[in-house]
Amino acid sequence: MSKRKHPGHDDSGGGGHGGDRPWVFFAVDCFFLITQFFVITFKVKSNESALPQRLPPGGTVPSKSSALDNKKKLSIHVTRAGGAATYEFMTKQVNMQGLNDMLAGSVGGGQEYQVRVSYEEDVPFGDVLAVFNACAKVKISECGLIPLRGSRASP
Amino acid sequence: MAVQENNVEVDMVPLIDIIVLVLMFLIIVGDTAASANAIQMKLPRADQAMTDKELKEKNVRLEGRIVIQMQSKEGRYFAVVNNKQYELVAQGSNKSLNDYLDEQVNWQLGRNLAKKDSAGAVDIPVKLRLPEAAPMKDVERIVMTCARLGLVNIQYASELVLKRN
Repeated sequence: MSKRKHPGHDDSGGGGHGGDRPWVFFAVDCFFLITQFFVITFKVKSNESALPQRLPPGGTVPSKSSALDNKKKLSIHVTRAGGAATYEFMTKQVNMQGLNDMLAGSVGGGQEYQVRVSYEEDVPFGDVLAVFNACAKVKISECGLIPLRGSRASP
Repeated sequence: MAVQENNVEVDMVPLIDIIVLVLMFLIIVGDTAASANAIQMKLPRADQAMTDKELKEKNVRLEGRIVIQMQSKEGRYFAVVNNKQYELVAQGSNKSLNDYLDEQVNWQLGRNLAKKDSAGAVDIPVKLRLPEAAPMKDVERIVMTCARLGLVNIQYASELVLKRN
């Protein structure tokens, strides 16, 4: 049977640091390195915000129940000119600030309205989400998209 | 005078136990956290957006929420759900987003985890994580797919804006 020695107290002078258990230091080093790796790469679940919207009944496809609901429908068309988004609302072309003002001025109780947003195919999503955000400000929670038509339409 | 030597030994067993437990916790929690918003993207800003906590306070349903992310690869956009990639439009042998969502909706309806109203609207919430710069042509495919399946309760992920007044 082998004689056990204290790891830090090697009387024989041989065996070096760690006595007869040098693997312990290696193992602890490995554990610490792995732990450091996970601690550094660990990400706490971020508290991401979300804008809740409800698509009008029937979704974006021609509404099955659109004849049944009594909500007033507003149309907003989004285009992009000169690198900035332009919004066409009530025959006027305005920027986001203008759209916010027009919505605030023309929409009383938002619950009575539905908004349909149309857009050019290359308009970035951020510009359309800005419309949803503007609608949320005036308490309109039902926003739908009018799909692209013709050859630009999705299959 | 003889110097008395103190033999101090670190007990390795509890140390290793604690490290292994910490490691397991980080692996499990880290992976779960990553799956919901694993894809790095620039989200659009929305000052009316709410955190999950605020949504819950307003009685917005979050249970069973499906998180759909959009990812661009070599100029094409794909949908990613639970770290699996789906085609936006059915093509070839690859599974499309429509197939996946259809399975999910039927599964939840079959187990009474979700309800469908008379207009065909299913109350399963869907969170869309879409990059700010994604063209509407591709975004429309995801929204249309949801709409066709009756998923009308949509939450658009946005960049967290500091508290509004």
